[in-house]
Amino acid sequence: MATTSLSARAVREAPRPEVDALKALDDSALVARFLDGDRRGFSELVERYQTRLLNFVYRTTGDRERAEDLVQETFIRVYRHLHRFDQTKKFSTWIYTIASNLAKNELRNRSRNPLVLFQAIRKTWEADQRPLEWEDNTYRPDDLFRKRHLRHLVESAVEELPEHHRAVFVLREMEGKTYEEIAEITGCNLGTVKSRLNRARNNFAQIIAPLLG
Amino acid sequence: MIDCCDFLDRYSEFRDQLLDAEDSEAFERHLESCDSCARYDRVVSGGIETLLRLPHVTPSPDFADRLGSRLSRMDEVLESSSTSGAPVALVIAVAATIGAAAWLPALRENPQPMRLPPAFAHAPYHPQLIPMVLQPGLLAVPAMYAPANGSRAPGFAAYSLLGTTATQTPTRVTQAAR
Repeated sequence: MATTSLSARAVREAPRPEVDALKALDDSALVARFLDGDRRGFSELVERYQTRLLNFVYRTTGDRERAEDLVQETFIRVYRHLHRFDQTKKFSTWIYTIASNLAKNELRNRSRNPLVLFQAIRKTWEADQRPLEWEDNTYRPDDLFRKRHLRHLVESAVEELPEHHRAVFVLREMEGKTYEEIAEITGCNLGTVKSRLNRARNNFAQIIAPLLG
Repeated sequence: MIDCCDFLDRYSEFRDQLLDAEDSEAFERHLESCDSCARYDRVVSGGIETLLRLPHVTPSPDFADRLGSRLSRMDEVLESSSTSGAPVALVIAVAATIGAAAWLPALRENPQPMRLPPAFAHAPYHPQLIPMVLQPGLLAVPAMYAPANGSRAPGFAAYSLLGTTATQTPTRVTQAAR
């Protein structure tokens, strides 16, 4: 197995003279270098994806510390299975798929609590069944209040989205993924991605409308 | 011409510029003429702008070190198992032995009945009940009801949970008691 013969110090070591050259490489070139025995390829991949994945998993799970553990686990799996990665595919989609599945498992484990499960099912059902609507809310809080609470409200609006809407929303709005990439990462078809994204945006707008517009 | 329901239904495609030119123009015209939908568009855009301005979460300073340590341990395990096939074979052999040992009693064709040591208990002496409980095959049969000093004092009996006949057990238990 190609990966097992490589030192794990790959993550920590990256000689400075070649750092710029590595940064100029695209993901598939880094993967190829790593598989050819250049461990700095993996180091650069970690550097490139750690913050993005952490933010994605954090926004999906809502737990900062657990998100970091899950991102570590993501890199462990990449390291172990990179030799099996189909290099005709996009590396970023693959690594996001791994992270997304780990986040999904985490949420599933949490939802085994019957109360949490019931609340999640109810929230999901309501979000899926409610017709898309938009009310022109005339509530206008003063500007100071608005500024103070807008950030918090936007963050909690994302947390309040049902799990399967939230993942699609974060991937699209925060990670800039295309519909096709989101479909691949989440294992849904394009129609489902469109529908979930539209509902997620609608729910998001309903929550933050009092402070915006 | 689209209405507000159409607008909301296909808003994501409009926002992400997935509509064809004709539909896109229809959406633009609707936005110009409908205050409510225009506000919806502003809220979504403004909310997402705010979301993107939120401070990013950054990995803790020891993130790379911890990851490196985990990968090192993983490498060591994988390398030791790849340099010699013995550990894997050993694990499989041990697992197979444990499994066989665990299933062996169940695989016997004629399992022996479990024999428990005699249990002693104080109970009222009722000689008229003894023929009933001396029936072979009962779960609990009286093993001995003679007291240790040989007299037939009432109020003491020794029972054995052997499921066997009383002709064998009283002798053994009596000897043990003596």
